Amino acid sequence: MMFPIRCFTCGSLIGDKYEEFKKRVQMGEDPGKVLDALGVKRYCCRRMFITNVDVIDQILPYEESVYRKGKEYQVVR
Amino acid sequence: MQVQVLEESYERIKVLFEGYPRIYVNAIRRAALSLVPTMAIDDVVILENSSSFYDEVIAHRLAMVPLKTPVGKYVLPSECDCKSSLGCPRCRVLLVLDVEAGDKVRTVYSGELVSEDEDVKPISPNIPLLKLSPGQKVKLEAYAKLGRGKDHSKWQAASVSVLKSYPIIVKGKSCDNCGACVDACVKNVLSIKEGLLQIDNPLNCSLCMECVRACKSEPKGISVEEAEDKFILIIESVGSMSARDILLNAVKELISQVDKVIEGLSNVVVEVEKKG
Repeated sequence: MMFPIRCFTCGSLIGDKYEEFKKRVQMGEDPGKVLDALGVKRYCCRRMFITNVDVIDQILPYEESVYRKGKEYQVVR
Repeated sequence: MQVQVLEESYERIKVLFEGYPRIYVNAIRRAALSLVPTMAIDDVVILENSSSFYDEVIAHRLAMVPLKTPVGKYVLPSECDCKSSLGCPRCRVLLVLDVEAGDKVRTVYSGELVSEDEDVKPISPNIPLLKLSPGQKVKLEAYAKLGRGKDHSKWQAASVSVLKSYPIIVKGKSCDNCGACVDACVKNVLSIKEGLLQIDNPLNCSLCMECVRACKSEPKGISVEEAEDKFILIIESVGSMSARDILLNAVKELISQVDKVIEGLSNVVVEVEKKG
């Protein structure tokens, strides 16, 4: 659902670098160069960044709308 | 018999072993991965969880967070005299997480884990743990314990631990300095200077033999061989302790295991002697 904290293969810490990676790639930088700059050397760790899909960001809007609806309902009652 | 540190930083160490049998150095390599004790969250008591994550997912994510491990400050739960399932102050550290999203979607970071002990805390405060939508709340107590990599990879102190043979690269008499081997080498070991083949940094060589294959001279103008009793051990730390500490602790753990074997054997010898 969320980006893994450690690399599946080698176990090194990658979780703290993901947000910067995502931000810089969205700004239009080359993903390979961003990973080099972040010090992610091995291809096991690099594929974790390139292939991740943040499913939680697709789920949370529903949770949020349920919360807002619940609030509305309380006001009407 | 000689040990020499070739490169050293907090997270990476490169050591050259000379005159030791391969099996001994390999035992150290394996011990660095599976025997060095490190701290990781093992038990999680979830008091409240209204987030989109299952309790198990939260517990697993917490366990993966690497914690700073002070060497020798804590004992393994199996070796502690408390024999309690949740442990005592000598064998566990309590970390508390109490977070609630306000009116916006919020990311919870590892820096929000409040530890009982300042020495045992996440190595980075910027690891995203959870994402909460408005109104969601998570409250939990997590118990960190010492453990070994062979039980679960969350306790693995080293991410990389490799043993490499020491390469011996020799330029032969039939070399015509054509430069084909220089182009074939991806590790930049070779170069041509003033029309002559130079071996610049032999330690980078990964013994792939591409240079020997690329050589057109007959017999081959370059030879690459593994040294018989010279090995390079490379250890890279996840961050819970320095690479040097991992290496030293791996050796310590190995010695204590061998001591256990000696102890067991000496008992057997006494029994046999009694029986005559």
